[in-house]
Amino acid sequence: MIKLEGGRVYDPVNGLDGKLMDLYIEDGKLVKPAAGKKVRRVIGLNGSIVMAGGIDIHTHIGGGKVSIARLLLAQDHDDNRVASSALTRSGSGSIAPSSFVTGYRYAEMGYTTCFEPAMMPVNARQSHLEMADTPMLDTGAYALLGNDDFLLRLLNSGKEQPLVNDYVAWTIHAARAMGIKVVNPGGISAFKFNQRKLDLDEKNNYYEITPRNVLTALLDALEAIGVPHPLHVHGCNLGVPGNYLTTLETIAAAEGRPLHLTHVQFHSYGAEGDRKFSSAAAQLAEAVNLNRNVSIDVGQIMFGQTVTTSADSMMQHKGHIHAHPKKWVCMDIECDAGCGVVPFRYRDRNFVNALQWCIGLEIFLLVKDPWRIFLTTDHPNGAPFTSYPHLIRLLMDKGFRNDMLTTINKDAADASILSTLDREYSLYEIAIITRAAPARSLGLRNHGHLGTGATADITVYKPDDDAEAMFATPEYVFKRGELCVRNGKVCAIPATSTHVVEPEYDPGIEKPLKSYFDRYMTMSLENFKLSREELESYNQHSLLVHDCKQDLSADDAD
Amino acid sequence: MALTTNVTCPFCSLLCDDLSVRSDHGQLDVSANACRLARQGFASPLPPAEARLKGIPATDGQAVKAAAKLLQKSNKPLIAGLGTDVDGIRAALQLAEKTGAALLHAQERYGAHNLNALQARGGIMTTLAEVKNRADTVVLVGNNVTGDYPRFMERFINNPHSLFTSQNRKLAYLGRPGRRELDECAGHAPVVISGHGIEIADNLALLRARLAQGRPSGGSSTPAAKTRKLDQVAGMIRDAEYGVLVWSPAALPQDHADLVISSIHDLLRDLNTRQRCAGLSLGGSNGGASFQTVATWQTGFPAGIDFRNGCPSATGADTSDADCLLWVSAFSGEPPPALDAPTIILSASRSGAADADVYIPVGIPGVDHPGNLFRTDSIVNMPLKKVRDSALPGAARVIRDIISETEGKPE
Repeated sequence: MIKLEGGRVYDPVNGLDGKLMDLYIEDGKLVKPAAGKKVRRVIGLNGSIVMAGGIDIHTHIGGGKVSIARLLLAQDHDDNRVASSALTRSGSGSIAPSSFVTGYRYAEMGYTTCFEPAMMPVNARQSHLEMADTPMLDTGAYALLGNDDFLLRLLNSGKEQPLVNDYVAWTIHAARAMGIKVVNPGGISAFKFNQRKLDLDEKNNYYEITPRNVLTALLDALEAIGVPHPLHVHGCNLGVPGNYLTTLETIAAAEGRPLHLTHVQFHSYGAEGDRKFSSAAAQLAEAVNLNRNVSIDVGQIMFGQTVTTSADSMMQHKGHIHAHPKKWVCMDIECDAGCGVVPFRYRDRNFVNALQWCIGLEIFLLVKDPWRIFLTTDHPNGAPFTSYPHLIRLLMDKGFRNDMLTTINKDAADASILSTLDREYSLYEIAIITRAAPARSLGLRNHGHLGTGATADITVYKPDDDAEAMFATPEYVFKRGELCVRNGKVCAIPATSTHVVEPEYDPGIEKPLKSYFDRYMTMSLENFKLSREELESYNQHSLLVHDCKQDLSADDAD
Repeated sequence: MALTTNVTCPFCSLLCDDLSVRSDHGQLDVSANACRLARQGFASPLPPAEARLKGIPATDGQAVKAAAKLLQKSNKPLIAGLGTDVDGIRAALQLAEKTGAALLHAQERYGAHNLNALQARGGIMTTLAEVKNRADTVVLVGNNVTGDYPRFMERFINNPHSLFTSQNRKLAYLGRPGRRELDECAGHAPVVISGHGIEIADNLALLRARLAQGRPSGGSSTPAAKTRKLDQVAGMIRDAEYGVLVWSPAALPQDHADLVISSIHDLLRDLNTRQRCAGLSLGGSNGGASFQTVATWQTGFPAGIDFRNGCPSATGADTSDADCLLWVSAFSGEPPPALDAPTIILSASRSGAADADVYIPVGIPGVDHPGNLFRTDSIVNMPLKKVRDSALPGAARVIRDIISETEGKPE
């Protein structure tokens, strides 16, 4: 048993707001001290800040589009080479770092679990292989649906919802996923039919269906099969001025069903003002505040070079004119989805970019319930994940935030209400948006908190008035009870797991699927499916299977 | 006698997985959907499970020790060939990092043409299922483009079922079609604009000019017959709902391959401002696509990786000054190129074994052991099965044994 002595514990799940206390770790879990249990190591924390390990609910760390991003950023990889050590593997890159480096950098800032949000089922093997090569972190992924021709055909032919439910649950098994994401619902397919935009109620040129039909079918399916994480939605019209109206319509379309809107900053734009680009953060925040079924992650942008990588080939193709440097890739993929990879540099002197920065922060500060907002930069789309400590300081430190505001494009700063927002996040709230709330949203009952029985993923920070410095360099990080980072440097490589859910479905769905695969796909149904055994073989990765219908079954019992 | 169905064929990067393979006392016979590469590959005889040191039989343990020693002694080791599956490549990257080696895949000189274009300007690409179901117009660019991909025409051009296209798919050819290709696509009455060498790039440029201007414009020096064909192909592309340009870097005139590929991408970028059209490259067999993909995610560099300075760099593997070669050839079993340096061979055949300092037989991924490989489109990864009783280890296991050996006894 290890004793962590005298830490200030911020554990919102258990209502602990900086309580000075001791924690005990045994066999990878937090335990109660008991007579007869020997403490073999005491680590004195001297009032340092203790939180559960960070959980990133939306970060592009595995899959084909990430590797395309790496290919396009050759210079960044050349300039940022990382040597191996006796303990760690080598790699390169500061924007979309290579897989090993990604794992080390996340752990070195106290994160212990990351979720890849856009895993195409047909690319599931690659996504999981890459994540198996991303050390230090538990991983998981959301399977992409909603642009795959199998589902669009089901909807187009008016098939009953139970068949859709079975297909969605089957896909989660086949791709070993933790949830479902939809990107530009039906829009990636529409782009293949040469449509360049698709509004929520606009029909596909080929299929007699709209994004609303796709959304509704998937929302119903996830509710029916009981996947804990709500439908993860990257809506229509990403990046288009005035798109906040689409976002509000999307919230309305959910009709109270659980809905997660991702990188909502990119979907909160008005079209007011001389430049026809304005902040609609207030309208968006108001809708989130009113609709308790809705959660969001922000997708904050930061200034500097990055790369945007998305399954949204339609909008990425449209955005290629802004590529910096001038190179970009679009791909149509396997009647499943697509992708677009466009390097981009956000400039603080550019009106639009500066206002994007303000919009993200406005959303953070205007959404009242921290349990329904998660800290993300949509890595690497808004900024690389390594900018999180800086972002946390922007949220916690009004003076710092206002100082930064004076350095950006003046028209944008003047157009934003940011300087009038006095809110400063507390450590307790930071613990919610970076750990507790993502865990709850995903249905991870043993992660994101420090109660007895929880997995001992623990991060300890030395208090510092500069929150950026504090969050950049934790004193200690424990992964499943193993000390793996000391003073911001990796000191051990712990075993890691893949998080999945396995909802029930009627195996009869394989009959129409087999016929579809045999006729139209380029592989057999059998080989499309990724088995548990195959996934576990990649890096002796163990699978953590989370329950579906968690709360429902409890309610039924009552 | 055992029959395995849904077998993935690892012998070209199409990775067709509809094969049925019969095994009879170690003899394999492809009983459904064989092509010449599959027939030949699955018929490869199982080499004796016996390692060699300078041609003399040795135990695996002795051979692994000897290999580790050679690599540790070397100042500039080179790991080449790299004909293995994803796990073999992961192991090879780790060994290269441990020993400060450079890595060079046997297909790299072809793959480099694609990378040069992609890393300079990007591209608009598609995958095999999109070609099969969506492409109503297909333009093949090069000479005998699908020659090394024997079932491409059968599976993706002459497919009986398609989600969106009818049977009368339009076809054009810029370059010299192979005889089998011509036979196979005869039903589509392809328009062939033949040409060799730089002419292929010229023809692409003429095509691009026509399509950019939206009306025919012949260069004054272009013969009338060719002008007609160019107009015809330009018209086909302009009218396409979803056009695909297919090339294979190895089937392009090598001196002009970079130019041709970047011309294709330029044309695609132009076209996509108003219509949908995408590219498909055929390449990356023998683990080539897998090497590029795995190397990119693990190191950030897709090719020409050198670990000699402790961290990966893309300075390009200079093979000439290598003072030790580890050659991996688990698919074709081809011998290494001659190199005046100690040589270690991990191969699925005994070819070259007699001359090597160390030879360790390894199984064929997808024949002797399970695994997975990336397909030509680099996005789809196919699982491989074990279809033959064999005691041979995979290359990954042997390489990891060598790594353990080097870790156990530091220089």
